[in-house]
Amino acid sequence: MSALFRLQRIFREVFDDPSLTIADDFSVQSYPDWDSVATVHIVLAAEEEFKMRFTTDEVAGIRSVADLRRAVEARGA
Amino acid sequence: MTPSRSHPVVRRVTDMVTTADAYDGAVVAAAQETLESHDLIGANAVSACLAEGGPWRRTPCGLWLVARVLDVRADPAAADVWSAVIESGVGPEHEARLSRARLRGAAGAVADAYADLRAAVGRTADASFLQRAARLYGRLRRREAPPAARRVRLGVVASSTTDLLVPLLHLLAFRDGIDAETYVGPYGNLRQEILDPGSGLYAFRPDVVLIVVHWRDAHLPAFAADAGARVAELVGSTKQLWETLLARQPCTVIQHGFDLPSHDAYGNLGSVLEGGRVAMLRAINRRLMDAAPATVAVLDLERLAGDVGAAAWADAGYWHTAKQHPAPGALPALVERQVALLRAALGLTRKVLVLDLDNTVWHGIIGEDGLEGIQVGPPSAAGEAHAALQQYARDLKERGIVLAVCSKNNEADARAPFERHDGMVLRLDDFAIFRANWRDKVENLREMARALNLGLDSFVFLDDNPVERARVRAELPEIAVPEVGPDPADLVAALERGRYFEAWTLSDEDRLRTESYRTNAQREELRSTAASLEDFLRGLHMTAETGPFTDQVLGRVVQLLGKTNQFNVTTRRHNEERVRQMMASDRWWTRYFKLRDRFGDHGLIGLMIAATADDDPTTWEIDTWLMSCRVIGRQMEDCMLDTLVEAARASGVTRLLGRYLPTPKNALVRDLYPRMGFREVGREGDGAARFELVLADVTAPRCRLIARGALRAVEVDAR
Repeated sequence: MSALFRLQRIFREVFDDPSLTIADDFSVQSYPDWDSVATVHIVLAAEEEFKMRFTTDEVAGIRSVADLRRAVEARGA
Repeated sequence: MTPSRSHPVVRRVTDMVTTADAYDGAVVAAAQETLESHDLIGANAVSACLAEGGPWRRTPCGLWLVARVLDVRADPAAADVWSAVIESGVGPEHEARLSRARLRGAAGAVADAYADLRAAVGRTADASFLQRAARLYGRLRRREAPPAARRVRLGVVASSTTDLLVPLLHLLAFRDGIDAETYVGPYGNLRQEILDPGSGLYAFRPDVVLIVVHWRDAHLPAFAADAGARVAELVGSTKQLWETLLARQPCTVIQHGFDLPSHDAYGNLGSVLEGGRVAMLRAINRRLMDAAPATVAVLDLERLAGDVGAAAWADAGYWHTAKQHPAPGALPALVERQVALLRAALGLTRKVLVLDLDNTVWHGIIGEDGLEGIQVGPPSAAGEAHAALQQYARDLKERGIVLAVCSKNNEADARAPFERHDGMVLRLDDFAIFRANWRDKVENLREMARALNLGLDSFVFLDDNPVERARVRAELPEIAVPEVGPDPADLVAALERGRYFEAWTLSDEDRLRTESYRTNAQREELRSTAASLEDFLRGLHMTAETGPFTDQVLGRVVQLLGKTNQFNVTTRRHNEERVRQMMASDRWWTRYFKLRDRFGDHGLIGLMIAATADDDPTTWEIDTWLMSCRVIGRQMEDCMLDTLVEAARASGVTRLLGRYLPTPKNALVRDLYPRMGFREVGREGDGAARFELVLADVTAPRCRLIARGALRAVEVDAR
């Protein structure tokens, strides 16, 4: 299963919108509901889904789906 | 042409979800991704598969896929398909219920959404699922207040972020029938919130305050030469916070004790040396617990961290990036303990444990395997596990939880192990009620509640049989029914997980309770042989002792104020501070009542509080009149009123005023005042009413069957 699809499932759950579709440019700027608490939820869910840990630096730098995808794909997801 | 032939990708998906007979979450997810990555979610070929009678609906994986695809399509038919999923019983029911709750909420059926959400939350402790459920709960709650037996104003002051904690608190409180209105102090401003009389915390007027701290807030160095002084200083400043808070706002307080840091440059010496940080934190915790007044509960964070596992408890990464402590995965366990104490503070602690017998209390089926065939106690491993459950139940009984049996068995078979099996820990007289028959357990449980005079919401029902559990959950949702797996080694853990019996304090009355319920059974016997109710009551040789509130009875007084629901005319939950104010004031008259009869001692079972009216020194207003439901029907209320009338007269009072404030649980006393000769003098909104008793009209004492005197003297006489 592609990382993007797995991330999409997470975003749908966090933002409670089953028909949400995401792409790399989906970001803190483009989606107003994406606040710092949502980031914590997304990080939490992604760590569980991909069985990995983000570094403190990575978490601080997450602003878009592209950022997340880079981080999970760097670990071979 | 069947739809699945029409498109190769749809055909592949059909193969995926119709090959396996069992539910497999990975298959459903893969099938959904296949459709989405080919942009087929809205395709006609898919529509035909989704329809009723379509090929996907015939298998568990297919049915889940239909529900998920309809969700993505935002199709209103999704709710019905989730219903079908729930009914089919395959796959994770809590997920299906959460999906349906979201749709029901969006469609405006908020009450149904709440029902699904409550059922979903009761079925899992998964941290990320609970976070999702908590977000949905927050959205529903903004639209419509949740159904709740109790509402509470909960102030939270914290030194760490509460973004993840507070939604979970709301959710688990809701699961337990509590609608929590919260105020969350600004992050890190814990001391200011309590010290500043103009803070938001005081403006909020909380009933309960949760003080969330952890080891970093102690600001202790890894080693201190002046350990004693540092410990004393921190304990002193915490006590000062409590005193300030309680003096300004009548409330109860849940205070986090300190957990221990996961790193320590001093290694083992950090615990061994008096000046080590771990040693100091432990000393502080012990002294905080010793110093806490009855209105403050110290939550043992160190022990909780041990239960969760130290490695899972703390996560430095989340602390540094989000000021989140403990680790997000440990939050459900923490909130579970906080909510257990909240329930205790509100008097919602469960009181009765009902046990099934076969494969719950012992291993095997007594009616088939016989006394020699069942296993309980060593050398059988399973038998030891069941004996461990019995020991746990026995310990619960010792601290005041009432035990009962509800089993489908012939009564003689069911009793035999208790009478003749060496491995048994529990004995027949440990149970207040023993019901072994072939009737429906739901009926038996209802009757048990009546016989014990307790609400079903004070029951916990432990049964290894999933069918019985499902039936009791469906028919009697007030009863807590812990989920148990097939391994008897999990029975104790299943009971522990729910923290059903968490108590704020432990009184002598708690320890006496089972004895009291058991002697009630003997009294019932006397009742059935006595010619009339009056003969029966006379035959009990009852003696009541009464006196003003003192320090010795204060703990029990506050406990009764906090938890008495049924015989309670005003349900005013005065806390210890408030009661102390009353004890110190001339305006207030307070009386406790103890009752004893020839079968046993009921302990302190009733309270009355009255105050001189502001505008009329010859009138007393009854602030509180409550009684434990264990002694209902004993003319105890007459005895209490006689005591009040005598005291009022002695103080030159000519008139008593009483007030009935209805709650969902106190219909029992709606007519108490008229029954006692009071005259209704006014109605208020919501069924509340005011009553008056002119003392000149009272000619004789009402109670002739309860002697008044010191209980100790009765004991001497009896010898």
